[in-house]
This record gives sequence, structure tokens and C-alpha cells, in this order.
Amino acid sequence: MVESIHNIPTLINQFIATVDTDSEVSSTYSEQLAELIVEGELTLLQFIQKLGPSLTSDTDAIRSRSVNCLSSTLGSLNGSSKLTKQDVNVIVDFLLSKLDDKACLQYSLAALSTLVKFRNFVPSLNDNLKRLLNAVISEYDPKKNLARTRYESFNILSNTLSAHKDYLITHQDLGDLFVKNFIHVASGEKDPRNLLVSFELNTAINQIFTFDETNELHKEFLTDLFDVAFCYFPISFTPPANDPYKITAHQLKEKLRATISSQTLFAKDSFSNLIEKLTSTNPVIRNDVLKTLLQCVENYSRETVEEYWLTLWNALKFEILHNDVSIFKSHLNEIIPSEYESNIDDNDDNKTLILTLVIISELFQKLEESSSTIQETIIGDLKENLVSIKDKSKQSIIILAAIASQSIHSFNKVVEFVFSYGNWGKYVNVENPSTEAEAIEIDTNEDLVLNIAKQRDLVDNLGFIFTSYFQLFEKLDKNEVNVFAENNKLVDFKDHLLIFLGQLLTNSSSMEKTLKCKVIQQLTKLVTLPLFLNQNENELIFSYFRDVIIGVISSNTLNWEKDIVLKEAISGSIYAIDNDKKIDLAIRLIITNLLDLLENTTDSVTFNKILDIIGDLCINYRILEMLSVRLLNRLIAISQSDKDIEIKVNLFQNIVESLTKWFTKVQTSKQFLTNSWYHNFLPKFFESVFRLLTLHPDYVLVELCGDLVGLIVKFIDQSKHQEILDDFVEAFFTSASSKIIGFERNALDEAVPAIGIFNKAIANVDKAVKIKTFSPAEYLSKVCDVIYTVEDDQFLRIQYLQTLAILVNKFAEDESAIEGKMGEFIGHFTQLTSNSKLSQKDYITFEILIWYIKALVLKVHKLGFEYVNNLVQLLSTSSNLETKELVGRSLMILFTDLKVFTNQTPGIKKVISKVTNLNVKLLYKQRIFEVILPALVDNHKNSENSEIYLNSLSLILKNLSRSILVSHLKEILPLVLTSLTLPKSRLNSTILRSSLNTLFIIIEEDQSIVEGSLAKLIPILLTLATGKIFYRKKLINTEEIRILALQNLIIIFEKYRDLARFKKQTLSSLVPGLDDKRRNVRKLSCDLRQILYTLD
Amino acid sequence: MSDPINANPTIIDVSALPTRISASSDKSKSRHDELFERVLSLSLAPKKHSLNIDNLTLPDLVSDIEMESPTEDELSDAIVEESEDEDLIDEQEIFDLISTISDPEHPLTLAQLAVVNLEDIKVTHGVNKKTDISEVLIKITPTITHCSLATLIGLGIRVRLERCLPPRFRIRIFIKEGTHQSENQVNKQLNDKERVAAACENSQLLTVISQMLSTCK
Repeated sequence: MVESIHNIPTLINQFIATVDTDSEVSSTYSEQLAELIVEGELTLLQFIQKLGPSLTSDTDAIRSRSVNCLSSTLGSLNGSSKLTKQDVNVIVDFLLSKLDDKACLQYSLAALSTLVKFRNFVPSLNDNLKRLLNAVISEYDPKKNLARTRYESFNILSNTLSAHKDYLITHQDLGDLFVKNFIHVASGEKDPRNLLVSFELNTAINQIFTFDETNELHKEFLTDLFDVAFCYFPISFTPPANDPYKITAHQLKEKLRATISSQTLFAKDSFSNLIEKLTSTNPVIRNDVLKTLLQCVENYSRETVEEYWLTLWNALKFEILHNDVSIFKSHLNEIIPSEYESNIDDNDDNKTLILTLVIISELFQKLEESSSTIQETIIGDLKENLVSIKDKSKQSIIILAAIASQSIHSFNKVVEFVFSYGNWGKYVNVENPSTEAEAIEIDTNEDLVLNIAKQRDLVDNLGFIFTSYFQLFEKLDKNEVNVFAENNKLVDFKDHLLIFLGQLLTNSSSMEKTLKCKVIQQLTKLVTLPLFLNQNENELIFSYFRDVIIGVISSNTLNWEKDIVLKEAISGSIYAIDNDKKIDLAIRLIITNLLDLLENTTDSVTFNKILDIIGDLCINYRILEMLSVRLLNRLIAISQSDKDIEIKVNLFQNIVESLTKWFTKVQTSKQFLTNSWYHNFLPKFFESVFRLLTLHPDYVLVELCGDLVGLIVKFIDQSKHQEILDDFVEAFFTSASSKIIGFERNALDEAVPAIGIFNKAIANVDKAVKIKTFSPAEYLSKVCDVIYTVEDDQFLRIQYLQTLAILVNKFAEDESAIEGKMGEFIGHFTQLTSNSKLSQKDYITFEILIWYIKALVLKVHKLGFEYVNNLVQLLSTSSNLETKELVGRSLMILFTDLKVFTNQTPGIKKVISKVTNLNVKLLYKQRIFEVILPALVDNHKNSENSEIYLNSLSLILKNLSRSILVSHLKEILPLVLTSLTLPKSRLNSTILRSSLNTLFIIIEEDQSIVEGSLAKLIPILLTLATGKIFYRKKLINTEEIRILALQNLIIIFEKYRDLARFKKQTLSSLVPGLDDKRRNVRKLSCDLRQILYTLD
Repeated sequence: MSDPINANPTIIDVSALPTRISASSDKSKSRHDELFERVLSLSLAPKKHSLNIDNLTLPDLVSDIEMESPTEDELSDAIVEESEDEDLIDEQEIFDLISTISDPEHPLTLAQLAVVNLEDIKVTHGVNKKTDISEVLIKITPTITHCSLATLIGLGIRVRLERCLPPRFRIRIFIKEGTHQSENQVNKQLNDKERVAAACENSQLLTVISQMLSTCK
């Protein structure tokens, strides 16, 4: 062999020198050594020789590091077969002889634990394994060693088990020796990391080895294995702050639980010990015990569980029977809450109840087929609680319901038992089966009539039985389902139950609201139980609901819409509508009745309340469609009726508004196309709207109808949109009417109120569609002409201005025509001198200009931004005060959100009709705000007419979302402060309102900005809040302003510390506020004073 | 505190307490008006015939000196007084002020324990608000007839009202007839100015009262 080019002693020495200070560096040396051995450059013999001096050193430290070097090198060899069997034997011998050297023990054990994994470690050869195991027992005492050393001894065992499992199983003597070794090693362990390995090993031993209970040695093993694990139960462990192994209490608990439940033969010890621990009062421990019990029941053999179930049942039943079980809700569809493990904390006593019930169910499921006694025992034990309704009835029925959900057989048995005459049968009027029961009857006669509280309990308890039906049904497979539906015992009592619940609902006093609610809950449940009721019975329940709903409405008591029974009946009906047949029932029995009721209602408040109830029930397209047909007829009838026009309009408004609301609701839950509505609904709808509008041009009605028409258009398939646009243009822009829209006037020749509907319709048309006959210049100038004619009707003018904006925004492809006009307009205003007086026409011209700009900035067109700059320019340079003021006020229009330019169905991401109707870019507001704000701030500083800019800003702020505002708070604050201190001649409510609102936002978002100004602010706010500021007989600080001022003060005193110096002054200043005329102001003054009194 | 004197009182559910029920008004009406207003606010041009009359949203562009006439406020006062509706301080308002005070020994409010009841509150307004004295009369019902905390509760109510009512009110607090063993004594104590003032000097007592008032809404 060639002498290694490496200097072996140096490597060894370097290892020894570094290992205690830097294990990372030292491991590189041991890896190099291992590499040399693998490559054959170094034999084991040579390696040991070189190690020799240090291995035999008299200094403990050197010796121990030397063994460490050997162990690390072996570890780096990774089981390589470079070490021959002979080599392995030699090292095993050497290491075993080293076990009495305490200084090296940790590393000797570590080396051994790596060695057993070597391919050439043969257990039988040289009796290696046996000698190793024996040596560990005789030479190593866990109690005298540190946790790290003990960890190595566990490692030997786990490595042995993984490498030589089969050998250990086939050689029983060695297997036994291994177990003995484990018990030796694991006794008295305290270190969490070692315990985890210990529990794992214990579990593995229980799973791998078979123990014979007749064998004395094995019996002893079993006891020891149990003790070595159970002595830690229940584990409570708080990880130290700097735990390098990151071991959690949860890990330890889980592993321990796995160990205890891994050996059926532990049963005689484990069950009794666990039950004893259940007496603890700490819920964490009790839950741990129950979880362990559950795992034992799950994992132990059926025979074992059978042997112990009675003990368990006797111990567990009281957990439920003697506790408050309000956590179990009878209206839910589950008895044991799903996800209870993660949703309920271990600290919660309720979890104990749930776990107990889970164990009982598990016990039952495991034993039901083999043992009939379990069911009889449980039923027998609970019988006395069910004879009448008393305090333990609910607890008992919960247990029964839990076991009833396990199998058809068990379900039938429980149902039969519960509804037997002796038990609840007598309450629900089950026939007395035998004459001999007369004796019982005398006993129970007085109980037969239940008081209200007991009726409530009984209804609740019935609910659990229904729940078990539902739970069981979920578990069954397809074939079983039908058998169950036809042959279950609950069917036998169906009629009794329906009659019983129905009587409770109809006959009990109307004061008994809780009882009625509970009955409705259970009726709802019955109606939703799969394959339980037939159509007639469903009908019966729906008619019960109808009676309740109609009954409450006709009672006409104050605020009947808030009645809880009504609400329960409505939500019950909604919940019950789960298939087509039930939709029919709901329509036929409930909704139709409500519509009829609506017909006879004249009072508009009641009318709206009933509409709201119908709206609640409108939960799918079929119902909506039916309602649209019925209500459309109603609208036609209203428009033709000879009622007072005000009433007609009002009814019309309310119906249209409701339809819009329901339409959106149904679309949001499940989208549908409205292609058919276009031909079926709209023509008649338009007809009646136009009829009404000619009688009375009500603008609110126009707005509301526009909303509905817009929505319908939006949900018509995109391919039809060209046709729709053509129809609308033809109807409104010519004197002809189109086939859908019977509108004969020409909206371009005269101003018509219905233009509002047109606006919303074309705003919802897909933006890719074009007006065929469109020539921008022509149409726009016509619209402008109309606008100039509407001088007096502001509302109508704004409608036309919107038309203008929509046309420019969506349909004008060439902006040059507009550009000329806009240039002309702005030129006109720039020329005005300080003496010029604005005419009405000037105002309207300016309106047209600003709406043009709005249309353009919405789509972020560069022309739009150019003109925003022009306006800003005009604002600072114009010498005409009136113009300045007009520009200042107009800017707000650019920020206002209009329905025609915003998404009216924000809840719907992808519209089913594939329509994209808006031509509005994101962030346009932010972009123009960033141009406008600096101009306002600058002008405000430098001009004597500062309130123009304040006013302008306050109008803008009203329309600006907080997210845009937040980044500009610092710049805005000076303006706010100035505006609050303006002389009252220049003050007005709008400025104050937005200043106070902005101040509130500033304080909420960033306290530091205002902090310096507090001393100035507080007195100002107090004046606004308590005094009365008049200017020219007009109250400036209205109720709203006073409230805002108080809200600002409240947030100031809540948010800032160290304001005690203001306490006294503020308290006395607030006194007038206590006698304010408005109650809301007084209330806030009180609240603020209360805050101040607690300030110190 | 030692064992509660009345460990098991009857409790009224919060939802069952009297509240100021907003007279069911037609909400849709005001909503529709609002809609109308919103659209109108977009109009820049004044109405043709009102071109020269003050615009609501527009501050007057008049110099300061010109209009600061001292008598103006007083003149306008009478007119404006009428422009704002007055919500009179009524029994319900007093009830709302004191109903959320906590009981000193239960985690419940006085209204939940039926210590204060709407029908046992009486408000009398002076003829002229500015000069005549007004009065609030409250009768409290202790949960049990030997309740030693009745005075404390009464004091708590008095402090709350003194802090929250304008000074023109005289506050009188009595034990409801026949609900307490030493009715007269307690009544005297509660309505004796000197004694109340002395009690309010006691910092320990004040701490307890602060706690009772801390739940006020």
C-alpha cells in the first residue's frame, strides 16, 4: 500500500484541537479521514494506529476527543462496506471494552450506534448484537449520565431496530433482550428530546413484537413498557426559551398518546389509570385524557374494547349527564361539531363534552355488531331521564342521537324507544299500545300536559333525533339510502310529529316567541331531511310558514318586521327551498300570498316592509322571474289606475327599486342572461313608465327605472348589443319609436325627462358597439342645443349633460370636433375682465365644458388633462372673480361618481353576458387630484379670496376616497386650519363640514400631523360645538357641524395622551352643549364629558 | 367586595329594555330626496330667476367690515331659534343616561336589574327655559329591601346626571315607596346637598362611582 500523501496524524490532531470549539470545522477533518478510508488510501488498522497515542492518553479530555474522532469518522463513512466484517468486529470489541471509560462513554455509544448500521455489521457474527445489548445493560447506567450521552444510547436502539428488525423478530431471545435493553435505557428519562425517541421506540416495540400474556417475562415487559410511558401522563411541558430542538408540548403529548394506544394488552392498566385521571378539574388535562382514551378505543382490538366498554361507559356518561350541554345546538345538522379539534381550545370545558360523545360513538360503532348489550345498556341507563321532560333529558337525548347516527339498526332502535308511549310517545299522541299501561297513565297523567318551558325543551330534544337522521343519511351508501328511507322507524311517527309541532305553532300564545322559533327551526329541519317528507307534507310545512308570516304581518303591531318569529319563518322558508318542487311550493304558498297582500296594502310603509320580505324570499332566478312577471302586471295596473298621481308614482318607485335590488342579489349569487327580458319585460315596462312620465315627470322615478333598465341591458348577451343600441338611438334620437321602446318624441328636438333612462341604457351597452349613424359633431351640437334650452330645470339639464358625457366618453372616436368647441369656450372665459358679468348662458357653456373634460379624463385622454391644466390656469390667473369662483366649484364634478360611469354590480367579477360597458380608467381621480391640489394650496396661500379654494377643495374632498386623500394629509392640514378660523362672514357649512371631516380623517390616520396644533384646535372646536354662530340670520354651525366638532374632540381626547391640562376648561365649555336643542348633540357632549372626567 | 348581598337577582334582557323607537318613517322617501339632491348638487348654473340670490354652497364675497354689524346676531336669534327643531329632554333620555350604569356588585346594568325603570322617571320643565328651574325626579327600586348599596347606587345616578344635565335641572332621587327598609334615611341622604358634596370628596367612593359609570353608553 502506498503511504498516504496526507498527513494522517495532523488531521487527527486538528480534529482533536477544534472539536470542542468549532464542530463544523472539525467535521471537515473527520470527513477527510473517512474519504481516505473509502478511497483505500488508509486502512482501519492504520487509522487506529495513528489514533493510538491519543486513545491511550492519560488525559480524559484527549481520550474523549480521540474516541469522538473515531466516532465522527465512522459516522462519515456512512455504513460503507469498506470496513470488512472483520474490521467491524474489531471495532465493536474495542468499543465495548471502552464502555467502562466514563470520559469517552458518549462517543463510544455514538460510535456503536453508527456501527450497527454498517452493512458488515452481522448480528450473529461474533455474537455482536447480543454482546452489544448485554454490554449496554451491564456497563451503562442511564441515571449517571447526561442527556446527550443518554440520547446516544437511545440511538443505538433505534438504529438497531431499523437495521435489524427482521433478525430481532425471528430471534426471540434477542428480541426479548432488546426490549429489556429499552426498558433499562428508558427508565427515569427526563429530557424531552430523549423522551420523544423513547415514546417512538416504545410504540415501535408494541407494534413489532408479539407478547405472550402467559409468559412471565413478557408480562413483566408489558408492565414495564406501560410504566415507562404512562408515568409521564399527563405531560405538561413548557419549552425553554432557547430550545435548540424546538420540541413542543403537542409533539410530546401526541407521541405519548400513540404509545399508550399502541398496545392492546395495556388495556387493563391504561383504562383504569386514565379514568382515574379524568377526575382532574383542569380542562386541559381532561381533554388530554379523553383524547388518549379515544385513541385507545380506536386502536385496541375489538375483543379488548368489548371487555372494558362497560367501565368506560359508566365513567363517561356522567361527563355528559352532569354537565351543561348548551354547546350542542338542536337546529344544526350535526351533533358533534365538525372541526371541533381545531376550533375549540383545549382549555374549554365544552371540548370535554364533545370528546366524551365522540368516544361513546366510537365505542358503539366498534361494538355494535358483536354485542347487543351495549345498546340495551345505554338505553336502559338513560330510560329514567326520558320518561318525562326533566333536567337530564337533553343530555340523554344527545347521547342517544349520537349512537343513533351510527347505523340504521341503532337509529331504529333509538327512535322506537324514544317515541314509545312510556316515553315521549305520550306527548306526541302516540296511541297507547296496551291496556295494562293504564297503571302508568295514572302516574303520568299530570305530566301529559307540558308547560311552556318543557314544550321548548321537548322541541329542542326532538331536533337531535332529526339531526341523527341527517347524520346517518350522510354516512349511508347509495343502496342503503333507499332501504333506510323506506324502512326507518321515524317514518312511523312522522304524522304524530307534524301534528304535534303544527299544534304547538298554531295553538300556543303569540307571546311564546321562543317556543315558536324553536318549532319553526325543527319544521325547517324536517322539511330538509333527505327523502323523509312527501310533497303533501312539505306543503303542510310551507303553509305553516305562510300562516306565521301572514299572521305577523296582519297583526300590524308596531315594528312587526322585527318580530323574531317572523324572521325565523322567513329564514326557515329560505333554507327549506332546496329543490325545484319546493320552489314551487314557496311560490304557490308563500310568495303569491304576499303579493296578494301587497295588492291590498295602501299604506306605503307597510307596502315597503312586505316588499322587503318578498325580497328576502327572492333567492333564485325562478322566483325572480315569477316576481318580475307579477310585478310588471302590477306596474301596468298602477300606471292605468285612477289613483292619485303621487300615490301611483310612489308605488311605482318602490316596486322598481325593489326589483332592481332583487335582480342584483340574484345575479350576485348566480348569474343569468336577460335576453328574454328584453323582449318580454321591457316593452310593457317602458309603456307603463312613459305613460306615468307624461302625467308626472318624476325624476326619481326616471333614475330608478334607469337603474333597472341599465342592469337588464348589461346582462343581455354581448352579441345583441348592437341591436339594442340601434333600438335606443332610434327611439330617442328620432321621432319614431322602435319595436321595443314605444317612445315617439325626439329627445334631440326637445328636452324630455326620459333621457335619464336612455343614459343608463347606453351607459350599459358594450363599449365596442358603435352608433351607426353617429356623427359626433352633429349629435353633440344637437344635445348642446337642447341643454341651452333647459335653463330652469337643473335636474333635466344635468341629465342631458350626462348624455353628452356618455356620448363623448364611449362613442366619439374623433375628438377634433370637440377640441375646437372646447378651445372656443375656454377662450371666452379667459377673456373676461374683472368687470364682466356672467350670463346664464355663460354658466351653461361652462357646464358643457366641464362635462366634456369629465368625459375625457374618465378615459384618461390627453386632451382632458390638457384642459384640466387650462382650468387650473384660469383659476389662478383670471381677473374675473365670478369666473374663479365658478371654476373652483366646478372641479368637484370631475371627481363625482355617477352611476353611468361606475360599475353597478361590483359583486360580480366576470359578467356572464361578456359585456364591458365602462370606458373608465383606474386611478384617473388620483391623477387629476395631483394636478389640482397643489394649485389650490398655492392659490389659497397667495390670494385674498382664499375661501374660493377652500370651498373648491371641500367639495372635492366630499367625493374623494380616503385612500387617495391619505397621502396628502400634510398639505391639506393648513387649509383645514385656516378654514376653521375664517371670519364668519366668509364661513359656510360646506366649508366647515369638509374641514371637520378632513380633520377627523387626518387625526385618525396620522396623529402626529395635528399634535402641534391641538392647543389652538380644541378651543375652536369647542366654539363650533357649543355656541351658535349666525351670519345674516342663518345658522352656520348646524346640528351636523356641531356633531362633527364633538366627534373631532372625542377622537382627540381618546387618541392623544397628556391632555389633562385641557380638562377643566373643556368640561366647563361643554356645559351649554348639555342643553343643546338637538338630542344627538347633547348625547355627544355627555360622552365627551364622561371621557374627560376619567382623564388624569 | 365581600359576598354579594343579593346573589341571585332577576335580570331583564337588554333587548327588552325600553328604547327610543324611531317612529317608523318612510325611509324610501328621504332616500329618494337625497338622490334628487345629489344630482342637483352637480348643477353649476344658478336657476335663471334666482341669479342674484345667495347660493347655498357659495360664501358671500363681501368684505368683512361691511357686514360685521353687532346687532345682527341678536336680531336674527329669534328667527333662527325656530329654524331648528327642539328635542326636549324627556324621560327616555334620562333613562338612557342612567340605564347603563353598572351595578356595584353585579356585572349588570341598573336597567337590567330593574333598579331604574322608565315609568319611575319624571321630567318637569320650567316655563321659561332660561330663567325657571326644571326638575328630574327618579325613583329607584333596590333589588332587595335591605340593600345597603341603595345609597351608593343613588349617588352614582346623581353624579351621572349632574355631569350630563344642564345646570337648570334640579335632580331628586328617591327610593320607590315600600321597596326599602330604611327608605326615609336613604332619601334624606341622597338629597342632602351637604352630604352629597361630602361624599364626592371621598376619593375612595369616587373611584367606585367612576367604575360604575365606566360602562355608560
